[in-house]
Amino acid sequence: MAVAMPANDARPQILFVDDEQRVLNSMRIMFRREYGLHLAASGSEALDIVQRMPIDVIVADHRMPLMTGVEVLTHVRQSSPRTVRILLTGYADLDAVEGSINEGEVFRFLTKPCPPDQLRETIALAARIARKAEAPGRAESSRRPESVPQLEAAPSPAPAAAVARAAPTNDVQEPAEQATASRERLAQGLGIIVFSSDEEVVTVVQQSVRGRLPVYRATNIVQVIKALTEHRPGVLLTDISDDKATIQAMTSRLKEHLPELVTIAISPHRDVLDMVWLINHGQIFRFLRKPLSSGRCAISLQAALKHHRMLLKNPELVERHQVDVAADESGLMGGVLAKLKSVRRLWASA
Amino acid sequence: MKRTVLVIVLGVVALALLVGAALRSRAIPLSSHISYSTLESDLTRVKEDFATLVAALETSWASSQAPGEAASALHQQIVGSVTKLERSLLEIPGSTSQRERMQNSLERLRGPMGTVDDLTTTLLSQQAEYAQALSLLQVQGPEIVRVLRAASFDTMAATVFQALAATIDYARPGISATPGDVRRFASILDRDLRLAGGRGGEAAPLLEAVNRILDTKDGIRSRLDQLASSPLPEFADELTQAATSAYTSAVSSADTARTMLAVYSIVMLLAVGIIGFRLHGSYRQINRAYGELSVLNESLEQRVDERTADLSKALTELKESQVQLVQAEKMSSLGQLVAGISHEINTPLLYLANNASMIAERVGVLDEFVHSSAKTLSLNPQTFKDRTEYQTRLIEGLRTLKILLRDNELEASVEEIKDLNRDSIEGLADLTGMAQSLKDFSRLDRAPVDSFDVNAGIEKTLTIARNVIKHKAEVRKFYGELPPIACSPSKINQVFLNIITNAAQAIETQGEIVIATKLRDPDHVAISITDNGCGIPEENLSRIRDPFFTTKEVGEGTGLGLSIVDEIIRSHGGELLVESRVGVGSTFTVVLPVRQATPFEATQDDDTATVPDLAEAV
Repeated sequence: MAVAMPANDARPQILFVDDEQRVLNSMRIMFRREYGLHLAASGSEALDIVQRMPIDVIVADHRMPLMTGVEVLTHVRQSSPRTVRILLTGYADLDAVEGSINEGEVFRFLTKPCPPDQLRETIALAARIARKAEAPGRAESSRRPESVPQLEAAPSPAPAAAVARAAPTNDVQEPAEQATASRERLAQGLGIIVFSSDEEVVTVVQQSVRGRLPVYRATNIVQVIKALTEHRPGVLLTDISDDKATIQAMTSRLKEHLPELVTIAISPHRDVLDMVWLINHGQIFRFLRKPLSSGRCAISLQAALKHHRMLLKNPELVERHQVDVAADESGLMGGVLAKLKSVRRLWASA
Repeated sequence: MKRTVLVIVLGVVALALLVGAALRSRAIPLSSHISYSTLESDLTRVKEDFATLVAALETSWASSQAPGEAASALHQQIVGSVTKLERSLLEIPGSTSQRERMQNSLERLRGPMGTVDDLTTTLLSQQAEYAQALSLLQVQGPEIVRVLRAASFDTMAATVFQALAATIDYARPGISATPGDVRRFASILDRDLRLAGGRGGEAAPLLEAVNRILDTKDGIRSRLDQLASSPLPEFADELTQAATSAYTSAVSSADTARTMLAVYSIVMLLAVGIIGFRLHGSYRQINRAYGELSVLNESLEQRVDERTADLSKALTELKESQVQLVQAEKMSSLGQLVAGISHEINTPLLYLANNASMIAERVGVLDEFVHSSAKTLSLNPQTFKDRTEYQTRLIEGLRTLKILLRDNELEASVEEIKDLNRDSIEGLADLTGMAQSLKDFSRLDRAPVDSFDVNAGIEKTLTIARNVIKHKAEVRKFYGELPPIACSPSKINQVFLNIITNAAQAIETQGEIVIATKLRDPDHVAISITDNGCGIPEENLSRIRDPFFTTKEVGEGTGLGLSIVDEIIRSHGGELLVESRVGVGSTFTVVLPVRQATPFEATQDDDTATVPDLAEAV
């Protein structure tokens, strides 16, 4: 069932997808006054709605017949990238969590029962972010599905005048002077920090980039900060196998202060709770399991770099990776915090 | 086996060689050597004697003497030697062909020998007669002439004289005088004698001698030549050659055999040496092995103890891992179940919480309205001095209420509250049902019961598995009237759950599960669960009950589910029947006895009680 709202509704448009009618009833009554509400009892209905009208936020249940929530969100990511995606599920099974990171690229992963206040807050935040990205003049471009071109697609339209590194820098077709400036800026973001004490991870990453991108190795947070200060890389591969608490906290802080830095988490375990935490508090872009395969690693890195450059080009989209700031329970991050702020200033001035 | 046969054959061959060589190398007896040398010397003597005889005869002939006794002795000697030959010949060794050759040679020798014998005999007598006649002529002739002359038989005497002279002249060997004169004088003498009529008879022996000489001279000569040219020596040589060749070949073959025997002996000695050497080596090895064995033997007991300890440790570990595996299977199906149930519980909880919060919110607004209306309603005209003021206040109050009603969509709110409340009540009912099913499904007491309602059990199971099934299949139920059965409810529910879950998983998108129960016979109930899913390939059908057999991805199933199901059913004295066709679907039929033959043992969460025999699979 779909509840269509007047087309000229200025309120944020929220789409709920759940196969349980009572949930939809409850959501309708809860949110109908603040938002333009759309309700779908199945994935196909939801996709139909997304096709027909702009949706700011989609909240999907995972366990549904015929099409799972992750599948719905993955389709929505492709057909309407500006829609902020939230998964709301009664049971956080591994496939759901991993899929929501790597395929659905969700903004939040919520589990039922979710306290009504949290639900309201999360949806309000999502709606705000969606609308902010919808800034005048940019609305059209950001609504365009997958507006960022392939990393290694067509040859560069302009002569490779300002190509800083051997890295592929083909980009959107822009006027020449803009393109040059854009390339210079983007070229800075083409490095990878590998934060892991595992030699094999470093080896696989190096195999994956095949010398086309600089790889910075870090085995502690200080080295990560140093690499961030000196090189301004675009992607952080972080191995959460050891000292999980600290690294998770760091991942969250990094995303809070340097949201354009795209994070890929690596772990030998698939711990549902850790992964959910990393989505909500760290906005990790991909979750890879150890042992890493160089093929998967290469694909993920390419997607991460593309995503990073899209964030640089469209700074308003950075908001979409706003993290749920976690309380600094360990207190370990105090010193790091100050440093991160200085990196932030450095990056902002660049 | 083959080797033994080979060794035996080799042994027999070696022995045969040995016997053959020994037989062939046997010494030629002394008598044979003697026979050969006798033969050889006899033949040589025959040749020599023959030559001497011929020479003697020639000599006596040349000297017109009678051959002496020596010649006669030689003749006898030759004959004796040749007679002896045959005896010697028989004792000479040799092959059959060689013997034949010798016999033939001997036969050939015998021919000329006969001739030689005859000739010699004749010659000996003739020569003797001849010599006697001649001697008569020479000795008595002149006497007779004198006698005749004395008796005045001068003519006759002259004739005799002339005849004597002619005959003596003629008779000289080597002189080939023509016998014409002699014959003439002989005939004259003969006539004279007859004419004399008895006188001069003294001359008759002379005539006789003359005639004899005339008669025999040429015969002797030719016989002598005949004898000299006799092939006897050649044939003797031939026989010697034959005998020599037979003898030498016999001797040389014996020599070869002896050489062979010597070589054979050396080879055998060498072989014996090698065998001895190897035996020695083997013996040393055996000795060493024996030494090692003794050492091993000493440590064997200790090692047996160690191995026993290892094995019992391995057995303990195996048992533990069996339990763990069964636990893992339980956790795996439990995991899916928990996922479903969590979702089933959490979804109502979500909207119950939401609804409660919203009802509270709406009630807050309603509360304001109720207070306002109460305030307005409680306006008492008595307390107002002025009726107009009362009316004004009343209108104000009503206006406020109207505003409240309109701005807060109170009517809608009430509807919403009703809706929310209805949903909440229904949700609570769902939750209660779920809680009850969970409780009944896996009763903590787990005690076997005598009266389990199979249909109710399936209903409970379906409630539990609702989340797994509802997205996949429509469930159609055909419950027959069943007597209560004796069983362990939690285990039988586990069976139903496993089969129903499998049925749902076999359906890829959307399908149908048909559950039918009936009393098959007074003692057995049958529960069939049919899906129209992917079906089981025939080659897998016989293996689906095997522990660890699974077609699911690694990590998605332990492959123990159906093996545990089968074990549970069998432990209840029932059976599990499976029919399936690829692309059409599967039917699992559980047949359970109504009564149990023996009361159940207490199976208080005893996992090992339902462990299938994993030892076979491991």
